[in-house]
Amino acid sequence: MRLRALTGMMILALAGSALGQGKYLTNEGTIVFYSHTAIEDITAENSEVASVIDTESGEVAVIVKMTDFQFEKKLMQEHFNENYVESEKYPKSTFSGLILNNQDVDYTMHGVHSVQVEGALTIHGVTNKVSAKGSVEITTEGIVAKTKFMLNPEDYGIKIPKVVRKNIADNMEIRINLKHNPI
Amino acid sequence: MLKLNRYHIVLSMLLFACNMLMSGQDLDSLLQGYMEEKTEYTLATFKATRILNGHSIERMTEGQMDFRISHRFGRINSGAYEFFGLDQAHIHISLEYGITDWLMVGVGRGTFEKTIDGFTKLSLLRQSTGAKEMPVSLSYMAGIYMNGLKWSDPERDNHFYQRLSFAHQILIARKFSPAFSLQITPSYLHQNLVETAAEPNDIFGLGVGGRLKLSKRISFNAEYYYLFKPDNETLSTDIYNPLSLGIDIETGGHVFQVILTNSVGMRENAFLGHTTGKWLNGDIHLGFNVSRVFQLKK
Repeated sequence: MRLRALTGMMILALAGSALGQGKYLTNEGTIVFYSHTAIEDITAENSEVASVIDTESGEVAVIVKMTDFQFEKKLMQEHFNENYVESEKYPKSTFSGLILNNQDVDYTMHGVHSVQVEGALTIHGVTNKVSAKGSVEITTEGIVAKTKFMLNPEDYGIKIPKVVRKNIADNMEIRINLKHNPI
Repeated sequence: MLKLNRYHIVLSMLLFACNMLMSGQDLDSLLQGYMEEKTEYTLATFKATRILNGHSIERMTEGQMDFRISHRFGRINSGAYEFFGLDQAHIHISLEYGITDWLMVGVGRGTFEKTIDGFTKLSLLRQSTGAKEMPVSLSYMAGIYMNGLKWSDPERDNHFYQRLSFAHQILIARKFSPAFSLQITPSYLHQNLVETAAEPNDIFGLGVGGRLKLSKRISFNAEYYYLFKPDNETLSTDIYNPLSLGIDIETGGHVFQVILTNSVGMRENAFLGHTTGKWLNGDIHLGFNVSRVFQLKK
């Protein structure tokens, strides 16, 4: 275990030194999803999202562990992991994409810039091309990236049985808030 | 120490080489290394807190309440007059609650011997991978059962404690794959009063139970207890090893279990001490358990 931690640190150190400036990281980002129907509102929050922005190229990458989504009802959390997203088979969801208007963002200026992000989102082993509007806020601590978009679970091969069809929305709202710090 | 150093030097060189090869764009692998390794606890070894009749290592987490209704019909071989057992009904209802994530309690009432029962179940180990690895989940269950029938012989010197039975079980389970879980359950039943002097007050049993997922929400379950007890020839009533086969159907907050079993009793005192049916004779009861879970505390 200690060996593994050491290795992890070395990867970080090496990655940091080799990749150089312009990269901002977090492993405490937040993703909330929200499903609203007339019968039931469901929310789940994951506040252990790992994310990185490369300000030079405008590339972004996000990794989410599905079992880190916390539900109010623990039974619902179990069902989410076991029957819907199948976390044992597909433990992580990832996003890897590009800030399309990266050249318009001045990362040296404090303030909020709106951005358009496009890339590949993989959930439940299914990859789709997605595009969303968001914002990056440059602060003294780093870069806060935010976005909000809708997602249909069926697009990712997540089947919702008829009995609970009325309890789960066709489209979920996804809110993402990532406070990156410089490497 | 030397080994460790050498390992790290080689690894560093490898990593450095990899870094040179990577075009500096591989943000994904950068992130992978940045994610903390945590303990991942195994979820849903079983779908309900019972495999079929007996306990599973599953528990109610803090603030969860489980309302359970279990029902067994009469024996299938009782013929058309009894509508193959469907004319008779044996019921057990219970309320069970998770006080903490590792301690649950329950109280119940069953038609078998008009029993009132209570139990506590402690989750001592949980199967996990990642930072902390644990190959199995282990729980301890202790139950107390009060026979509520009128004294069969009121003239006799009857004491309250004679109504009581106690059960202790160690539950050891492992989820081998998302589709297959297995549990072994060493069990001990003590009955303060038994029918005749020939009957043992103490019965030990070794249970084996498992589930095999057939689809996302349906699984096949089986449960068998081998009883260490005197030969049936020496007993006033024949007792057999309880064997139950069933299907778990899960729909949202409900779990339905449809069961075929040779035990009419649905709690440890009954299925460990009083399973009088024999599968090969057709003494089989159709039954079901219904579980409805409520989240009382958020």
